[in-house]
Amino acid sequence: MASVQIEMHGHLIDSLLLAKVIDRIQASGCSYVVTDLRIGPAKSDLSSAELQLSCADEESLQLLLDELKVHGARPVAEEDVRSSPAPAAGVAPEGAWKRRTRPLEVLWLGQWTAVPGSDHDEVVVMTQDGPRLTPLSDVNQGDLVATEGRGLRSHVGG
Amino acid sequence: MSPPDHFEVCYSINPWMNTEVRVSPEKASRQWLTLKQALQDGGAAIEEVPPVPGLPDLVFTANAAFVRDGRALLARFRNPERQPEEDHDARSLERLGYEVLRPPAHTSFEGAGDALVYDDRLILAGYRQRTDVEAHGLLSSRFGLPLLSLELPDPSFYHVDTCLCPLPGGHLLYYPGAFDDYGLRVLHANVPEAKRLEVTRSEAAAFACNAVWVGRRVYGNQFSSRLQAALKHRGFEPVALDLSEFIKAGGSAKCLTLRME
Repeated sequence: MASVQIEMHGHLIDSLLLAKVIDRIQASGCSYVVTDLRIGPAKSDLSSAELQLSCADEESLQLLLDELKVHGARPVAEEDVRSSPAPAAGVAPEGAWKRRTRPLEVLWLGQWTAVPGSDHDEVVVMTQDGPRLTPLSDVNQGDLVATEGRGLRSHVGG
Repeated sequence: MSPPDHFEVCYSINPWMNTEVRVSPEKASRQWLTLKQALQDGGAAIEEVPPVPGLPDLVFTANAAFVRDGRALLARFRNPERQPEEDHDARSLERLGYEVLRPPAHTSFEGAGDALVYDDRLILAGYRQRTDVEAHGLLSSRFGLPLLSLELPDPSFYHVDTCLCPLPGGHLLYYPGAFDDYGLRVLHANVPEAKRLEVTRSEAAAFACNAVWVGRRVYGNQFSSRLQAALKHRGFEPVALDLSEFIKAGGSAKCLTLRME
């Protein structure tokens, strides 16, 4: 028996993507358990799902994973970046990531996203439009600042 | 639009392209100018993007980006042959005043070729052939619009704008054979039957869905008499223009334009 946890993000319900992935799993003879499902409250919101896949052997599992990745279902490998609110203007929260090397990518909404900004920027602020390198002096109280740990990498494609 | 000064078929990245078929530069230029003039006559203002030697497909500006409300999500082309277009497109869009956003690394996205706004409320987006479905979540969240992901299983209809064309008033021109059962169920659940206008395979192969509209005029390479009657019945004025040189590369009126409004 071979098993793996997979995840999907996007318009999974209205686009029938989750239904398609489940149908493909069933057609392959493998089995699944939905371990997490978060449905966006509004039509423009994204949904996410995690499924535990089990196949008879490693080869069947790999074949199925190759088929499912076209539809956005991939093994859970990494988790989105975490953030904390700035306690005051110009002050980074405890554990904030600070600039070391460029370029930088952040795992956001399940995807590695290149972070725009200049060479003088110091922290990563999570804006509505995504992560953005920002001088500490421009950080406002309550801004969500990326913290050290998961979901950050300093080499594009690395 | 971008003039076809350097347009040719020198590589093959879709089933329509055959490098043994020669493009006539004079004919391509004439056809492009006719389309431009027709769009202007219909009331469109055209911005021109400079052509670049060695980038023959830059003429297909629809693929440059998805644009809306002053922002542009730039393409990240699947095929290496087209990837050098990205920086040129970014500069052109910035010059036109757009805030340019880029998709994440390793995520393919081919602009308005694979993302069309339906009825000013919904993005109909294609995936599999040229765009990764992972790009759809980003597109929807950046532009604040709901989105439907539609798989394109047939390589002949490699962008969603080759098999689907939203028209004003919530009408939709589409070729059902380009979608799987899931895609058709999704389309049918979101577009009322009275607004759907089905295209046959032969009409789709003549690029009927790769149309662009200005007001009630719908411009395309070729519309069958059946399709012309159906469009007129819905209050549209089909305008057929010979774009045969561009069909050799798998593009027509829609591919040759990027709607900026």
